Amino acid sequence: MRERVIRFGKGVSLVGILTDAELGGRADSPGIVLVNSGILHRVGACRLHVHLARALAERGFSTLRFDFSGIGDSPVRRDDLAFEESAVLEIQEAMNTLGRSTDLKTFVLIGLCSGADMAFKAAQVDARVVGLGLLDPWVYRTPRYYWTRYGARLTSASAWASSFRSRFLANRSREPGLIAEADEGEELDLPTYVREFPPKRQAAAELKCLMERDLRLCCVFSGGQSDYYNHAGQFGALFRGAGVQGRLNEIFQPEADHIFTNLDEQQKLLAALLAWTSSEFDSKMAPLSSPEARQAG
Amino acid sequence: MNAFFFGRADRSLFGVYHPPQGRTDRRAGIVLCSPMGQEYMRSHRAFRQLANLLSRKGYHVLRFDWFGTGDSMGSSTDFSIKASSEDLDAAIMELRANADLECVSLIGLRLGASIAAMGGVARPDVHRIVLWDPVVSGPSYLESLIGDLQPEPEETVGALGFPLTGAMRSEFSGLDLCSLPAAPTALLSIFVSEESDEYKILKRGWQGAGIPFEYSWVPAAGNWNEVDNFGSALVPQELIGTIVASFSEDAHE
Repeated sequence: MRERVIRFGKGVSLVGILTDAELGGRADSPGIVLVNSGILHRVGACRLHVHLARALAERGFSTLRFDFSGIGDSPVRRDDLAFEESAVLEIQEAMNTLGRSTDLKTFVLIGLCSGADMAFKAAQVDARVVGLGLLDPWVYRTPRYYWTRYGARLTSASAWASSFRSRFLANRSREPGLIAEADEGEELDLPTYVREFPPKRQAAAELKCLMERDLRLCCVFSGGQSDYYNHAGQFGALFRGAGVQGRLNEIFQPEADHIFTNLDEQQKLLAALLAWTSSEFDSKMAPLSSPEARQAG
Repeated sequence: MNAFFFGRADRSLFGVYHPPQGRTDRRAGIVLCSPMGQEYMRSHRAFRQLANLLSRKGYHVLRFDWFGTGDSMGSSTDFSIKASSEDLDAAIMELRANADLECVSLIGLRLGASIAAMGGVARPDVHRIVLWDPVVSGPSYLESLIGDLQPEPEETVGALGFPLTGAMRSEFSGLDLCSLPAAPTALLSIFVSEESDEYKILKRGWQGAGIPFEYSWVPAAGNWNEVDNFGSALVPQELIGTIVASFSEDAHE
Protein backbone atom coordinates (compact mmCIF):
# COMPACT_ATOMS: atom_id res chain seq x y z
CA MET A 1 0.00 0.00 0.00
CA ARG A 2 1.49 3.32 -1.05
CA GLU A 3 0.08 6.58 0.28
CA ARG A 4 1.48 10.07 -0.21
CA VAL A 5 0.64 13.44 1.20
CA ILE A 6 -0.36 15.85 -1.57
CA ARG A 7 -0.61 19.65 -1.30
CA PHE A 8 -2.58 21.23 -4.08
CA GLY A 9 -4.94 24.05 -5.04
CA LYS A 10 -4.63 27.56 -6.41
CA GLY A 11 -6.65 29.56 -3.89
CA VAL A 12 -5.18 27.81 -0.89
CA SER A 13 -2.87 24.86 -0.27
CA LEU A 14 -5.22 21.94 0.39
CA VAL A 15 -4.06 18.78 2.15
CA GLY A 16 -4.85 15.37 0.72
CA ILE A 17 -3.67 11.77 0.86
CA LEU A 18 -3.25 9.93 -2.42
CA THR A 19 -3.58 6.18 -2.25
CA ASP A 20 -1.99 4.67 -5.34
CA ALA A 21 -3.71 1.81 -7.10
CA GLU A 22 -1.88 -1.43 -6.45
CA LEU A 23 -0.31 -3.18 -9.43
CA GLY A 24 -0.28 0.16 -11.21
CA GLY A 25 -4.04 0.33 -11.71
CA ARG A 26 -5.72 0.50 -15.09
CA ALA A 27 -5.45 3.45 -17.42
CA ASP A 28 -9.16 3.26 -18.27
CA SER A 29 -10.34 3.19 -14.66
CA PRO A 30 -11.56 6.41 -13.08
CA GLY A 31 -9.79 7.97 -10.14
CA ILE A 32 -11.81 8.20 -6.96
CA VAL A 33 -12.13 11.40 -4.90
CA LEU A 34 -13.50 11.15 -1.36
CA VAL A 35 -15.24 14.31 -0.23
CA ASN A 36 -15.44 15.69 3.35
CA SER A 37 -18.66 15.33 5.27
CA GLY A 38 -19.47 18.29 7.52
CA ILE A 39 -16.48 19.16 9.67
CA LEU A 40 -15.11 15.61 9.73
CA HIS A 41 -11.60 15.66 8.33
CA ARG A 42 -10.50 13.56 5.39
CA VAL A 43 -10.30 10.23 7.25
CA GLY A 44 -14.10 10.23 7.10
CA ALA A 45 -16.71 9.26 9.66
CA CYS A 46 -15.33 6.40 11.77
CA ARG A 47 -12.23 6.37 9.48
CA LEU A 48 -14.35 5.04 6.62
CA HIS A 49 -12.50 7.02 3.93
CA VAL A 50 -9.20 5.45 4.95
CA HIS A 51 -10.61 1.93 4.79
CA LEU A 52 -12.41 2.66 1.54
CA ALA A 53 -9.35 4.25 -0.13
CA ARG A 54 -7.13 1.30 0.75
CA ALA A 55 -9.70 -1.28 -0.33
CA LEU A 56 -10.22 0.57 -3.62
CA ALA A 57 -6.44 0.66 -4.17
CA GLU A 58 -6.33 -3.12 -3.79
CA ARG A 59 -8.90 -3.29 -6.57
CA GLY A 60 -6.89 -1.05 -8.88
CA PHE A 61 -8.37 2.38 -8.19
CA SER A 62 -6.24 5.37 -7.20
CA THR A 63 -7.98 7.47 -4.59
CA LEU A 64 -7.55 10.97 -3.20
CA ARG A 65 -9.07 11.93 0.13
CA PHE A 66 -8.61 15.58 1.00
CA ASP A 67 -9.78 18.42 3.21
CA PHE A 68 -11.80 21.34 1.93
CA SER A 69 -10.39 24.73 2.90
CA GLY A 70 -11.07 25.40 6.56
CA ILE A 71 -11.70 21.71 7.30
CA GLY A 72 -9.19 19.22 8.76
CA ASP A 73 -5.65 20.31 7.92
CA SER A 74 -6.44 22.65 5.01
CA PRO A 75 -6.18 26.38 5.75
CA VAL A 76 -9.03 28.83 5.43
CA ARG A 77 -9.52 30.54 2.06
CA ARG A 78 -8.90 34.26 1.90
CA ASP A 79 -11.43 35.00 -0.82
CA ASP A 80 -15.15 35.57 -0.40
CA LEU A 81 -16.39 32.43 -2.08
CA ALA A 82 -19.38 30.74 -0.46
CA PHE A 83 -18.74 27.20 0.72
CA GLU A 84 -20.85 25.73 -2.10
CA GLU A 85 -18.67 27.53 -4.65
CA SER A 86 -15.28 26.87 -3.08
CA ALA A 87 -16.13 23.22 -2.46
CA VAL A 88 -16.90 22.64 -6.14
CA LEU A 89 -13.69 24.41 -7.19
CA GLU A 90 -11.68 22.39 -4.71
CA ILE A 91 -13.19 19.09 -5.86
CA GLN A 92 -12.17 20.06 -9.40
CA GLU A 93 -8.67 20.86 -8.18
CA ALA A 94 -8.59 17.48 -6.47
CA MET A 95 -9.50 15.83 -9.78
CA ASN A 96 -6.81 17.85 -11.58
CA THR A 97 -4.23 16.73 -9.03
CA LEU A 98 -5.27 13.10 -9.06
CA GLY A 99 -5.32 13.22 -12.86
CA ARG A 100 -1.82 14.68 -13.06
CA SER A 101 -0.45 12.16 -10.57
CA THR A 102 -1.99 9.10 -12.16
CA ASP A 103 -2.72 10.08 -15.76
CA LEU A 104 -6.39 9.29 -15.21
CA LYS A 105 -8.98 11.24 -17.16
CA THR A 106 -12.27 10.43 -15.46
CA PHE A 107 -13.37 10.42 -11.83
CA VAL A 108 -15.87 9.09 -9.35
CA LEU A 109 -16.82 11.27 -6.39
CA ILE A 110 -17.96 9.72 -3.11
CA GLY A 111 -19.32 11.71 -0.17
CA LEU A 112 -21.67 11.59 2.79
CA CYS A 113 -24.34 14.20 3.59
CA SER A 114 -22.86 17.64 2.73
CA GLY A 115 -20.11 15.71 0.92
CA ALA A 116 -22.80 14.10 -1.25
CA ASP A 117 -24.33 17.53 -1.92
CA MET A 118 -20.99 19.00 -3.01
CA ALA A 119 -20.09 15.94 -5.11
CA PHE A 120 -23.41 16.29 -6.94
CA LYS A 121 -22.78 19.99 -7.57
CA ALA A 122 -19.29 19.26 -8.90
CA ALA A 123 -20.65 16.62 -11.25
CA GLN A 124 -23.03 19.23 -12.68
CA VAL A 125 -20.21 21.40 -13.90
CA ASP A 126 -17.47 18.90 -14.69
CA ALA A 127 -17.94 16.26 -17.36
CA ARG A 128 -14.95 14.29 -16.12
CA VAL A 129 -17.18 12.96 -13.34
CA VAL A 130 -18.50 9.60 -14.52
CA GLY A 131 -19.81 8.29 -11.23
CA LEU A 132 -21.23 9.49 -7.94
CA GLY A 133 -21.36 7.54 -4.70
CA LEU A 134 -23.80 9.52 -2.57
CA LEU A 135 -24.35 8.57 1.06
CA ASP A 136 -27.53 10.06 2.50
CA PRO A 137 -28.02 12.52 -0.36
CA TRP A 138 -31.07 14.76 -0.66
CA VAL A 139 -34.30 12.88 -1.14
CA TYR A 140 -37.98 13.71 -0.86
CA ARG A 141 -40.95 12.13 0.82
CA THR A 142 -43.36 10.30 -1.41
CA PRO A 143 -46.91 8.98 -0.83
CA ARG A 144 -45.36 5.60 -0.15
CA TYR A 145 -43.02 7.20 2.38
CA TYR A 146 -46.04 8.45 4.33
CA TRP A 147 -47.78 5.11 3.98
CA THR A 148 -44.70 3.28 5.24
CA ARG A 149 -44.36 5.66 8.14
CA TYR A 150 -47.92 6.17 9.18
CA GLY A 151 -49.89 3.47 7.41
CA ALA A 152 -50.33 1.25 10.43
CA ARG A 153 -51.48 4.19 12.53
CA LEU A 154 -54.00 5.74 10.14
CA THR A 155 -56.97 4.24 11.88
CA SER A 156 -55.96 5.58 15.29
CA ALA A 157 -57.53 8.93 16.23
CA SER A 158 -54.92 9.63 18.88
CA ALA A 159 -52.14 9.06 16.37
CA TRP A 160 -53.67 11.65 14.04
CA ALA A 161 -53.84 14.19 16.85
CA SER A 162 -50.25 13.50 17.84
CA SER A 163 -49.08 13.83 14.25
CA PHE A 164 -50.92 17.12 13.85
CA ARG A 165 -49.26 18.55 16.94
CA SER A 166 -45.84 17.33 15.85
CA ARG A 167 -46.10 19.08 12.51
CA PHE A 168 -46.64 22.38 14.22
CA LEU A 169 -43.89 21.83 16.73
CA ALA A 170 -41.32 20.44 14.33
CA ASN A 171 -38.35 22.47 13.13
CA ARG A 172 -37.98 23.26 9.47
CA SER A 173 -36.34 20.59 7.39
CA ARG A 174 -32.93 22.15 7.76
CA GLU A 175 -30.02 20.29 9.19
CA PRO A 176 -26.88 21.92 10.47
CA GLY A 177 -24.24 20.49 8.19
CA LEU A 178 -21.28 22.20 9.76
CA ILE A 179 -21.29 22.89 13.47
CA ALA A 180 -18.56 24.34 15.64
CA GLU A 181 -19.04 24.19 19.36
CA ALA A 182 -16.87 27.16 20.06
CA ASP A 183 -15.63 30.31 18.42
CA GLU A 184 -12.18 29.44 17.18
CA GLY A 185 -11.01 32.82 16.05
CA GLU A 186 -10.54 34.05 12.53
CA GLU A 187 -7.81 31.70 11.49
CA LEU A 188 -9.80 28.57 12.19
CA ASP A 189 -13.18 29.80 11.03
CA LEU A 190 -15.30 26.99 9.70
CA PRO A 191 -17.02 27.26 6.35
CA THR A 192 -20.71 27.94 6.74
CA TYR A 193 -23.11 25.48 5.22
CA VAL A 194 -26.69 24.87 6.22
CA ARG A 195 -28.00 21.81 4.49
CA GLU A 196 -31.18 22.51 2.63
CA PHE A 197 -32.48 20.19 -0.05
CA PRO A 198 -32.92 21.82 -3.45
CA PRO A 199 -36.47 22.06 -4.83
CA LYS A 200 -37.48 18.64 -6.09
CA ARG A 201 -38.07 19.88 -9.65
CA GLN A 202 -34.58 21.37 -9.77
CA ALA A 203 -33.04 18.20 -8.37
CA ALA A 204 -34.85 16.11 -10.98
CA ALA A 205 -33.70 18.37 -13.82
CA GLU A 206 -30.10 18.30 -12.67
CA LEU A 207 -30.20 14.55 -12.20
CA LYS A 208 -31.62 14.15 -15.71
CA CYS A 209 -28.66 16.08 -17.15
CA LEU A 210 -26.27 13.72 -15.42
CA MET A 211 -28.15 10.65 -16.60
CA GLU A 212 -28.01 11.97 -20.17
CA ARG A 213 -24.23 11.97 -19.73
CA ASP A 214 -24.55 8.31 -18.76
CA LEU A 215 -23.17 9.00 -15.30
CA ARG A 216 -23.46 6.08 -12.89
CA LEU A 217 -24.98 6.65 -9.50
CA CYS A 218 -24.84 4.75 -6.24
CA CYS A 219 -27.10 6.14 -3.51
CA VAL A 220 -26.88 4.68 -0.04
CA PHE A 221 -29.48 5.69 2.52
CA SER A 222 -29.05 5.09 6.23
CA GLY A 223 -31.71 4.86 8.90
CA GLY A 224 -30.31 8.20 10.08
CA GLN A 225 -32.18 9.90 7.26
CA SER A 226 -35.52 8.33 8.13
CA ASP A 227 -37.22 11.73 8.22
CA TYR A 228 -37.02 11.67 4.45
CA TYR A 229 -36.34 8.13 3.35
CA ASN A 230 -37.81 4.92 4.70
CA HIS A 231 -38.07 2.23 2.03
CA ALA A 232 -35.81 0.67 -0.56
CA GLY A 233 -36.35 2.05 -4.03
CA GLN A 234 -37.76 5.40 -2.90
CA PHE A 235 -35.10 7.46 -4.69
CA GLY A 236 -35.41 5.53 -7.94
CA ALA A 237 -39.19 5.81 -7.89
CA LEU A 238 -38.96 9.54 -7.27
CA PHE A 239 -36.66 10.14 -10.20
CA ARG A 240 -37.83 7.55 -12.70
CA GLY A 241 -38.49 10.38 -15.13
CA ALA A 242 -34.86 11.52 -14.89
CA GLY A 243 -33.67 8.36 -16.58
CA VAL A 244 -32.05 6.68 -13.61
CA GLN A 245 -33.10 3.18 -14.67
CA GLY A 246 -30.06 1.05 -15.29
CA ARG A 247 -27.71 3.73 -14.02
CA LEU A 248 -28.72 3.79 -10.38
CA ASN A 249 -27.68 1.40 -7.66
CA GLU A 250 -29.87 2.24 -4.66
CA ILE A 251 -29.11 0.73 -1.27
CA PHE A 252 -31.03 1.09 1.98
CA GLN A 253 -29.31 0.36 5.31
CA PRO A 254 -32.13 0.99 7.79
CA GLU A 255 -30.08 -0.23 10.75
CA ALA A 256 -27.27 2.25 10.11
CA ASP A 257 -27.14 5.71 11.64
CA HIS A 258 -26.09 8.75 9.63
CA ILE A 259 -22.35 8.33 10.24
CA PHE A 260 -22.38 4.52 10.19
CA THR A 261 -21.12 3.86 13.70
CA ASN A 262 -22.25 0.23 13.69
CA LEU A 263 -19.35 -1.98 12.59
CA ASP A 264 -21.55 -4.41 10.64
CA GLU A 265 -23.18 -1.52 8.80
CA GLN A 266 -19.73 -0.13 7.99
CA GLN A 267 -18.79 -3.44 6.43
CA LYS A 268 -22.02 -3.51 4.42
CA LEU A 269 -21.38 0.02 3.21
CA LEU A 270 -17.80 -0.72 2.19
CA ALA A 271 -18.84 -3.92 0.45
CA ALA A 272 -21.61 -2.11 -1.42
CA LEU A 273 -19.34 0.71 -2.59
CA LEU A 274 -16.57 -1.69 -3.62
CA ALA A 275 -19.01 -3.91 -5.51
CA TRP A 276 -20.48 -0.88 -7.26
CA THR A 277 -17.15 0.62 -8.30
CA SER A 278 -15.86 -2.75 -9.46
CA SER A 279 -18.96 -3.59 -11.48
CA GLU A 280 -19.35 -0.16 -13.05
CA PHE A 281 -15.79 0.95 -13.58
CA ASP A 282 -13.53 -2.08 -13.50
CA SER A 283 -13.10 -1.84 -17.22
CA LYS A 284 -14.14 0.77 -19.72
CA MET A 285 -17.66 1.84 -18.89
CA ALA A 286 -19.98 -0.59 -20.57
CA PRO A 287 -22.97 0.62 -22.53
CA LEU A 288 -26.33 0.08 -20.89
CA SER A 289 -26.66 -3.42 -22.23
CA SER A 290 -27.80 -5.19 -19.13
CA PRO A 291 -29.69 -2.86 -16.87
CA GLU A 292 -31.42 -5.78 -15.25
CA ALA A 293 -28.07 -6.69 -13.73
CA ARG A 294 -28.20 -3.56 -11.65
CA GLN A 295 -30.57 -2.84 -8.88
CA ALA A 296 -32.35 0.22 -10.14
CA GLY A 297 -35.30 2.07 -8.72
CA MET B 1 2.84 23.34 8.36
CA ASN B 2 4.22 20.30 6.67
CA ALA B 3 2.27 17.05 6.46
CA PHE B 4 4.21 13.86 5.78
CA PHE B 5 4.64 10.18 6.57
CA PHE B 6 7.47 9.05 8.78
CA GLY B 7 8.71 6.04 10.74
CA ARG B 8 9.37 2.47 9.73
CA ALA B 9 8.21 1.44 6.27
CA ASP B 10 5.99 -1.27 7.73
CA ARG B 11 4.67 1.06 10.42
CA SER B 12 4.36 4.33 8.54
CA LEU B 13 2.84 7.16 10.57
CA PHE B 14 1.10 10.32 9.41
CA GLY B 15 2.39 13.51 10.99
CA VAL B 16 2.03 17.27 10.67
CA TYR B 17 4.99 19.45 11.59
CA HIS B 18 4.31 23.06 12.60
CA PRO B 19 7.51 25.13 12.57
CA PRO B 20 7.84 28.16 14.85
CA GLN B 21 5.95 31.15 13.48
CA GLY B 22 7.17 34.70 13.59
CA ARG B 23 10.50 35.83 14.92
CA THR B 24 10.82 33.60 17.95
CA ASP B 25 12.36 30.16 17.79
CA ARG B 26 12.52 28.83 21.34
CA ARG B 27 14.62 25.85 20.24
CA ALA B 28 12.07 23.66 21.99
CA GLY B 29 9.71 21.06 20.58
CA ILE B 30 6.36 19.57 21.54
CA VAL B 31 4.87 16.28 20.36
CA LEU B 32 1.08 16.07 20.50
CA CYS B 33 -0.36 12.63 21.30
CA SER B 34 -3.92 12.03 20.10
CA PRO B 35 -6.64 9.99 21.75
CA MET B 36 -8.17 7.08 19.85
CA GLY B 37 -11.51 6.14 18.35
CA GLN B 38 -14.30 8.69 18.33
CA GLU B 39 -12.27 10.82 20.76
CA TYR B 40 -9.64 11.18 18.05
CA MET B 41 -12.26 12.34 15.54
CA ARG B 42 -13.72 14.80 17.99
CA SER B 43 -10.37 16.30 19.00
CA HIS B 44 -8.73 16.71 15.60
CA ARG B 45 -9.68 20.36 15.31
CA ALA B 46 -8.61 21.11 18.89
CA PHE B 47 -5.20 19.57 18.19
CA ARG B 48 -4.77 21.62 15.05
CA GLN B 49 -5.54 24.75 16.98
CA LEU B 50 -3.26 23.78 19.86
CA ALA B 51 -0.43 23.13 17.41
CA ASN B 52 -1.01 26.47 15.66
CA LEU B 53 -1.00 28.42 18.92
CA LEU B 54 2.14 26.70 20.21
CA SER B 55 3.97 27.28 16.94
CA ARG B 56 3.05 30.95 17.18
CA LYS B 57 4.73 30.97 20.58
CA GLY B 58 7.93 29.81 18.92
CA TYR B 59 7.72 26.04 19.46
CA HIS B 60 8.41 23.28 16.95
CA VAL B 61 5.30 21.08 17.09
CA LEU B 62 4.60 17.64 15.70
CA ARG B 63 1.16 16.07 15.86
CA PHE B 64 0.73 12.56 14.53
CA ASP B 65 -1.62 9.60 14.25
CA TRP B 66 -0.85 6.35 16.05
CA PHE B 67 -0.49 3.22 13.92
CA GLY B 68 -3.98 1.96 13.08
CA THR B 69 -5.57 5.40 13.58
CA GLY B 70 -6.27 8.42 11.37
CA ASP B 71 -4.17 8.54 8.22
CA SER B 72 -1.40 6.32 9.57
CA MET B 73 -0.95 2.85 8.18
CA GLY B 74 -2.67 -0.09 9.78
CA SER B 75 -6.21 -1.23 10.22
CA SER B 76 -8.26 0.16 13.09
CA THR B 77 -7.98 -3.25 14.76
CA ASP B 78 -4.17 -2.94 14.81
CA PHE B 79 -4.02 -0.23 17.47
CA SER B 80 -2.17 -1.33 20.59
CA ILE B 81 -0.99 0.58 23.65
CA LYS B 82 2.17 -1.49 23.88
CA ALA B 83 3.10 -0.99 20.23
CA SER B 84 2.22 2.70 20.33
CA SER B 85 5.20 3.30 22.61
CA GLU B 86 7.24 2.55 19.50
CA ASP B 87 5.21 5.21 17.64
CA LEU B 88 5.89 7.67 20.44
CA ASP B 89 9.59 6.97 20.14
CA ALA B 90 9.45 7.46 16.36
CA ALA B 91 7.58 10.76 16.74
CA ILE B 92 10.00 12.11 19.34
CA MET B 93 12.99 11.15 17.22
CA GLU B 94 11.36 12.62 14.11
CA LEU B 95 10.77 16.01 15.74
CA ARG B 96 14.21 16.06 17.33
CA ALA B 97 15.86 15.27 13.99
CA ASN B 98 13.68 17.69 12.00
CA ALA B 99 14.23 20.62 14.32
CA ASP B 100 17.66 19.63 15.63
CA LEU B 101 16.54 19.48 19.26
CA GLU B 102 18.07 17.72 22.26
CA CYS B 103 14.76 17.11 23.97
CA VAL B 104 11.03 17.71 23.59
CA SER B 105 7.86 17.95 25.64
CA LEU B 106 4.72 15.87 25.16
CA ILE B 107 1.06 16.86 25.32
CA GLY B 108 -1.41 13.99 25.34
CA LEU B 109 -5.19 13.96 25.43
CA ARG B 110 -7.21 11.10 27.00
CA LEU B 111 -5.56 7.78 26.05
CA GLY B 112 -2.84 9.75 24.26
CA ALA B 113 -1.96 11.32 27.62
CA SER B 114 -1.71 7.93 29.28
CA ILE B 115 0.52 6.55 26.53
CA ALA B 116 2.71 9.67 26.67
CA ALA B 117 3.08 9.34 30.45
CA MET B 118 3.83 5.63 30.37
CA GLY B 119 6.30 5.92 27.50
CA GLY B 120 7.88 9.28 28.17
CA VAL B 121 8.07 9.67 31.92
CA ALA B 122 11.63 8.47 32.29
CA ARG B 123 13.07 9.37 28.90
CA PRO B 124 16.08 11.65 29.14
CA ASP B 125 14.95 13.48 25.98
CA VAL B 126 11.49 14.33 27.38
CA HIS B 127 11.44 17.52 29.41
CA ARG B 128 7.78 17.82 30.33
CA ILE B 129 4.56 15.85 29.86
CA VAL B 130 1.15 17.52 29.82
CA LEU B 131 -1.73 15.16 30.54
CA TRP B 132 -4.99 16.64 29.27
CA ASP B 133 -8.10 14.86 30.58
CA PRO B 134 -6.02 11.66 30.84
CA VAL B 135 -7.45 8.17 31.00
CA VAL B 136 -6.52 7.11 34.53
CA SER B 137 -8.18 3.72 34.90
CA GLY B 138 -8.32 1.31 31.97
CA PRO B 139 -11.36 -0.58 33.30
CA SER B 140 -13.31 2.68 33.74
CA TYR B 141 -12.32 3.76 30.25
CA LEU B 142 -13.50 0.42 28.87
CA GLU B 143 -16.79 0.82 30.66
CA SER B 144 -17.23 4.26 29.11
CA LEU B 145 -16.70 2.70 25.69
CA ILE B 146 -18.85 -0.43 25.88
CA GLY B 147 -20.82 -0.17 29.10
CA ASP B 148 -21.32 -3.45 30.91
CA LEU B 149 -21.01 -5.55 27.76
CA GLN B 150 -19.00 -8.71 28.44
CA PRO B 151 -17.80 -9.93 25.04
CA GLU B 152 -15.95 -13.17 24.48
CA PRO B 153 -12.16 -12.63 24.61
CA GLU B 154 -11.72 -13.10 20.87
CA GLU B 155 -14.75 -11.04 19.94
CA THR B 156 -14.39 -7.59 18.36
CA VAL B 157 -17.08 -5.15 19.41
CA GLY B 158 -17.89 -1.63 18.34
CA ALA B 159 -17.10 1.39 20.49
CA LEU B 160 -18.82 4.47 19.03
CA GLY B 161 -17.94 3.47 15.50
CA PHE B 162 -14.49 1.99 16.08
CA PRO B 163 -13.52 -1.64 16.63
CA LEU B 164 -12.40 -2.78 20.03
CA THR B 165 -10.65 -6.13 19.81
CA GLY B 166 -10.11 -8.58 22.62
CA ALA B 167 -6.40 -7.69 22.62
CA MET B 168 -7.24 -3.99 23.02
CA ARG B 169 -9.67 -4.70 25.87
CA SER B 170 -7.06 -6.82 27.57
CA GLU B 171 -4.50 -4.02 27.31
CA PHE B 172 -6.95 -1.36 28.45
CA SER B 173 -7.94 -3.45 31.47
CA GLY B 174 -4.39 -3.35 32.72
CA LEU B 175 -3.98 0.41 32.39
CA ASP B 176 -3.51 2.28 35.67
CA LEU B 177 -2.00 5.74 35.41
CA CYS B 178 -1.52 5.86 39.18
CA SER B 179 1.29 3.34 38.75
CA LEU B 180 3.92 4.82 36.50
CA PRO B 181 6.47 2.38 35.09
CA ALA B 182 9.47 4.33 36.39
CA ALA B 183 10.40 7.23 38.59
CA PRO B 184 9.69 10.35 36.55
CA THR B 185 12.47 12.47 35.20
CA ALA B 186 10.05 14.63 33.19
CA LEU B 187 7.90 17.36 34.72
CA LEU B 188 4.29 16.21 34.91
CA SER B 189 1.38 18.62 34.45
CA ILE B 190 -2.23 17.55 34.59
CA PHE B 191 -4.99 19.69 33.05
CA VAL B 192 -8.56 18.52 33.57
CA SER B 193 -11.84 19.96 32.35
CA GLU B 194 -13.78 18.38 35.17
CA GLU B 195 -12.55 17.36 38.60
CA SER B 196 -13.91 13.84 38.66
CA ASP B 197 -13.30 11.14 41.27
CA GLU B 198 -10.85 9.56 38.84
CA TYR B 199 -8.60 12.59 38.98
CA LYS B 200 -8.83 12.82 42.75
CA ILE B 201 -7.62 9.21 42.87
CA LEU B 202 -4.77 10.05 40.51
CA LYS B 203 -3.70 13.01 42.64
CA ARG B 204 -3.78 10.93 45.82
CA GLY B 205 -1.92 8.09 44.10
CA TRP B 206 0.90 10.25 42.83
CA GLN B 207 1.13 12.24 46.06
CA GLY B 208 1.35 8.96 47.98
CA ALA B 209 4.12 7.73 45.70
CA GLY B 210 6.03 10.98 46.08
CA ILE B 211 5.65 11.87 42.40
CA PRO B 212 5.87 15.63 41.84
CA PHE B 213 3.27 17.10 39.49
CA GLU B 214 1.28 20.23 38.72
CA TYR B 215 -2.50 20.03 38.62
CA SER B 216 -4.90 22.49 36.99
CA TRP B 217 -8.66 22.28 36.81
CA VAL B 218 -9.99 24.47 34.00
CA PRO B 219 -13.77 24.07 33.77
CA ALA B 220 -14.47 23.40 30.09
CA ALA B 221 -16.26 20.99 27.80
CA GLY B 222 -14.65 17.59 28.20
CA ASN B 223 -17.19 15.20 26.75
CA TRP B 224 -14.74 13.66 24.32
CA ASN B 225 -16.32 10.26 24.34
CA GLU B 226 -19.50 11.16 22.51
CA VAL B 227 -20.87 10.84 19.05
CA ASP B 228 -23.75 12.69 17.48
CA ASN B 229 -25.50 12.41 14.17
CA PHE B 230 -23.04 14.65 12.35
CA GLY B 231 -19.71 14.00 14.06
CA SER B 232 -19.14 17.40 15.61
CA ALA B 233 -15.87 18.66 17.08
CA LEU B 234 -14.98 19.80 20.55
CA VAL B 235 -12.67 22.81 20.89
CA PRO B 236 -12.44 23.92 24.54
CA GLN B 237 -10.81 27.28 24.00
CA GLU B 238 -10.09 28.16 27.58
CA LEU B 239 -8.34 24.92 28.39
CA ILE B 240 -6.29 25.04 25.20
CA GLY B 241 -5.32 28.62 26.05
CA THR B 242 -4.28 27.60 29.55
CA ILE B 243 -2.05 24.82 28.26
CA VAL B 244 -0.43 27.16 25.73
CA ALA B 245 0.11 29.80 28.42
CA SER B 246 1.76 27.21 30.67
CA PHE B 247 4.30 26.56 27.93
CA SER B 248 4.91 30.26 27.42
CA GLU B 249 5.85 30.46 31.08
CA ASP B 250 8.00 27.36 30.84
CA ALA B 251 11.59 28.22 31.67
CA HIS B 252 13.00 25.44 29.53
CA GLU B 253 13.77 27.02 26.17
